[in-house]
Amino acid sequence: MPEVTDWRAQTAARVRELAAAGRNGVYRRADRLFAGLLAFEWVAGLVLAVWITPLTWDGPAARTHPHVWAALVLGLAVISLPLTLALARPGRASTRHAIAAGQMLMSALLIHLTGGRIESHFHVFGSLAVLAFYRDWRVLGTASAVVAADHIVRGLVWPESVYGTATGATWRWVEHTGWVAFEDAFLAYICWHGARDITLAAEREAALEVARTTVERQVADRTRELVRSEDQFRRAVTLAATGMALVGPDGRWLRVNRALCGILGYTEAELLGLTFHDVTHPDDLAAGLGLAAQVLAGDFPGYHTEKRYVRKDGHPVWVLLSVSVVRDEAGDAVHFVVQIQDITDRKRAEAELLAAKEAAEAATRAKSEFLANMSHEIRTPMNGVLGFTELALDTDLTPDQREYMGTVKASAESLLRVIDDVLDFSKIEAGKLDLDAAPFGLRECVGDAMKALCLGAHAKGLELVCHVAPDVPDDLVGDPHRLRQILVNLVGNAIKFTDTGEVVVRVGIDSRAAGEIGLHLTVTDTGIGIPADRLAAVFEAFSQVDSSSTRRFGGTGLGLTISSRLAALMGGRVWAESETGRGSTFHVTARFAPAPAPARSEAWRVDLEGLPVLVVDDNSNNRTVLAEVLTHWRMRPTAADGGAAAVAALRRAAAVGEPFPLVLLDALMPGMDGFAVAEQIQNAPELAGATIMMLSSADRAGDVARCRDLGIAVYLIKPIKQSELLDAILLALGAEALGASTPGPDVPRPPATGRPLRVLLAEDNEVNQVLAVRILEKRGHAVTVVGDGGQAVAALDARRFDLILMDVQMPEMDGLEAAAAIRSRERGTNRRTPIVALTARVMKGDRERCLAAGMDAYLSKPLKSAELVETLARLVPAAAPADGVFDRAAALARVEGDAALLRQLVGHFTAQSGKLLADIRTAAEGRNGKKLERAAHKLKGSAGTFGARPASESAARLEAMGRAGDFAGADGALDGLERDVTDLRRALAELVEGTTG
Amino acid sequence: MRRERTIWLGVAVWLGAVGIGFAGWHSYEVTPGAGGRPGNPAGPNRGEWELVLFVHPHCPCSRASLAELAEIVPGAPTGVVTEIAFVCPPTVPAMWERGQSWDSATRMAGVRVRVDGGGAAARRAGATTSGCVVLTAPDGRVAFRGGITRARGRAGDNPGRRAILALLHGDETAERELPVFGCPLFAAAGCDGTGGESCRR
Repeated sequence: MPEVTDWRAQTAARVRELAAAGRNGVYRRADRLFAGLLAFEWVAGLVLAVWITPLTWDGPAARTHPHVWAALVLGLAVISLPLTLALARPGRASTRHAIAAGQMLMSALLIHLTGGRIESHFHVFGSLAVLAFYRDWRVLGTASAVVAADHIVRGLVWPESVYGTATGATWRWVEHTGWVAFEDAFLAYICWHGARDITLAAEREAALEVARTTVERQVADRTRELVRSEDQFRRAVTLAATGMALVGPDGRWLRVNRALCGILGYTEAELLGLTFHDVTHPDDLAAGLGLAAQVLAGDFPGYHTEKRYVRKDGHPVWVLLSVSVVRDEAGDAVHFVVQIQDITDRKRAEAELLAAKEAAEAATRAKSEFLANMSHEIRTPMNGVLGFTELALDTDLTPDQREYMGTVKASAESLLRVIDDVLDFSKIEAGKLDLDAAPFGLRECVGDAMKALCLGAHAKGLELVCHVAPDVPDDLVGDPHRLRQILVNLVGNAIKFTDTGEVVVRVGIDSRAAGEIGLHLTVTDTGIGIPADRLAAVFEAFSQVDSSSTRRFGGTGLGLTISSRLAALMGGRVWAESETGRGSTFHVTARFAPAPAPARSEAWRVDLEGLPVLVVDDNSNNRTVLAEVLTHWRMRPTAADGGAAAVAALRRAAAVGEPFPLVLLDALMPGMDGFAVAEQIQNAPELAGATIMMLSSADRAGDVARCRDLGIAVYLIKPIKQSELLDAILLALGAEALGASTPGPDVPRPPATGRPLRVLLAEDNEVNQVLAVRILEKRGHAVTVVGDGGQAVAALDARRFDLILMDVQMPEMDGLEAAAAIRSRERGTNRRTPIVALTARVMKGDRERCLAAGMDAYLSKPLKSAELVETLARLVPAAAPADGVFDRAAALARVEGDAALLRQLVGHFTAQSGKLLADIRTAAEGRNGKKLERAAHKLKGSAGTFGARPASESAARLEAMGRAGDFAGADGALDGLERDVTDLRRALAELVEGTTG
Repeated sequence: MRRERTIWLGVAVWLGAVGIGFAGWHSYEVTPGAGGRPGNPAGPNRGEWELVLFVHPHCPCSRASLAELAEIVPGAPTGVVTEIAFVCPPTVPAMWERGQSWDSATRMAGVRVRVDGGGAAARRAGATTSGCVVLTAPDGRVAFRGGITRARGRAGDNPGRRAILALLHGDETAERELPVFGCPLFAAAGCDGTGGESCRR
């Protein structure tokens, strides 16, 4: 505010100063005006006097009239002072007042000269008006005072000289003075306005001055800023660490900085005398000119490029240019702005890096090639070792020989696992391991993994428990093989490091999202545990808890690492919790996509719904899992933790008239084991009638026979897949349908070994030749062996084969070429012989290459007989029709090709059918329709399991008789049923033998 | 301040000088010409009033006298012989009397204009200054002689005009003689008819 006040005070003073100057200017101009006017009036008065009264006469003599002299002398006297002051002291108050008085005296002179003519009084009014030019009312006062004085004095002394008449001389001066005052009033008003205008003009001028001063100050400030900014910019450009330059459109350097001079080795003066063409490497000049031309043409506003300059010393220097163009208002290019960065070192490093990368890639290729070759070279002899070991084990051996051969096989398989682990790890490390995305059944996948490991667990007396939570969807899309690999690794480790107790696998939901399901798998053991400080290390490659572990338990130490990487590829992770001496829990999360569930028959639920089941197991986890699964199937499980409790539960149920129709009985229990419980049930009439299923963790010799003796319907080896358990329950209860395990579209078809096949084997390795021939011939197939692809093609030209087994790596023409040639020859015909690739290479892309060459399937060495048989069955559908006794394909489909399950089912049917036939005969003979119906119904369902239409139909007839109470023809029907069942038992026995290979 | 005082002092001196100038001019203006002699105390009886204005043909002051005569003529009773006599010295060339005054006189109605060559009539009437009016009664006596302006060249109401009109209307108490403001009709040497005397005094 003080500044504002000060500013206002300064402005007011300036206004006064300017107004004073303005007024002074007006005064001076008016002074000059009146100086001329007075002189003019003097001359005019003189002329008037000369004109009117030039002469006065004295008779005939004439002389100058006194008026002329008066006009000359008195007029000169009147104007003398005003004129002098106007010229010598213009602008002064005294000057304008003297002028006013002189002007009025000139009026008096004129009036006098004209003899008081009233018209001459206009000079007074005119003079007053002109005096208003001064814009000073006080001047009018002076003039008016002179006029009044003149009129008063002359009116008194000589009124005719001023009024032209003596009449009213005493009062006329008042009238004349009044008119003058009247005019003065207006003139004074005008003067006031004029003075105000001067003040307003001064105020405007002062405001303009202030504005001008402000603008000038701002301009000065901006100018200083611009100068400072330009100085900063200039110094920034000059001292910039990177090269900077302005280049004219003609390529001439307009401005360069030190850094650029340093890069190019020229002085600034030298560079400014050159163009950028002069310093550009000849090989890069054309490209640079092209880019510059495009920028000038407006194709793009600027560009970045790497190019070479040539230093003054002739050495090339790599630079990174950032170029943009500056244009004037008309759009014409003024100059380029160029930033130049010396990237010679970077280029050198890039070259070195590129070389290193190429070297690394070459090394990687060499490593991959080495791995592939190693795989091939190891698997090829391993093929022979494993294959012939299996063949040897199928022969009659002494117990020692069987033990030795078993050890050989186990060792070979162990070695193969090591090789697989190393290859997997190598592929993961190289980022070449891709996951499949195929629909699969989760429970089947987990169950398969458990199946593979149960023998090891049982051998150590461990309970292997698997629990998949009911809310976990079964149909998923993912890589079941790799999921199984993770489980096998973790469970295998758990078994390995657990001497007593159990290994529990649980599968639950980790997360749900649109199009994604996260699974959480845990593997809990009661083993030795892992010290806390080693928990993280177990996931590192080639690492175990300690080196002694490796010696004690074996293994590469890659399993957990591979599992961890696989889980990561599945969008999850692996971690562990452990307590030394108490066991460990390994957690796995992985993400899968949900798959649409295949259509399944739910008819079985009707048979099971509300069915009471007694679950007998000393292991609480087993009890819990079984109870949960059975509950999920809408059954009513009751758990008993031991044999005694089971018997007590059975008795209680029987006592209340609600006996358990089904008992799931663990074979191995402390105190009273499963067999003892079964024996008590058999021996107690009140407990008879319950269907007993024996579940065993140890497939001990003689157990099956004991089960048959004790009338146990089913004998199953734990862990038991849910589908397997369901099928077994339905079979044991004689359900009509077994839709629960209807295979999905992608489930491999069971092998069809109904007729011998003509197989062409193209294999250069003699060991492998012999092995494959033995496997195939053992199953009745005819094998033609050739040594390379060319021979295979020739053989196929000579005769037809049902299938070709083609080794991929062979001399002369390899398998891929041969497959392509065969497919080429088949083109245009209706024939297409299935080709199965055999390869010891298990590297990424092998499978794709084989399929691309026209092959239909892919088997890796060492050959496993089951895989080979399965593949044959899948590619060559059984040509022979069902033998009429049962539907072989349907029977195998029921068990999804699971030979072990098939054996169990056949064994169960064999045992059950005898008992049922006896029951049927007893019921028929005793005319017990209800019992006949029930027994016939059970037998019908069991036979239907194998698609045995004759047996099923015969049983159905008897069932109908029992239901109707019509026993006429029952004996004949019973005879037919016994024949059909006998035929079916024989056919099933052949089937079981055929799949046990 | 001193300079200002000097200026104001100069202003006062200037005003004084100008005042003196105006006063001198005033003095000149109100100074009458040489008075006429009585002339013949009684002339022949003409039986009618005769009013004669003697003017110098080129005297600028007499233009006011002509204007005043023009004011008197309409006011005079009928039967008054009015005459304007342009007094011409004997040595002047012919038509010397012609000029602005002559033109004004000849345009005046009811007035006889004549040239008084050599000034004989003027001399006889005792007129020596231009603008001198001589009123002769019907009985031949000079009833009035003097000027009909209040100053040199000043037209307007004046004692001469009022006296003449009063006499013509029978007022015997009117002024009989008044000063005349104008140029001498005769050269100073012959002002009295013998020459050498100036009209001005």
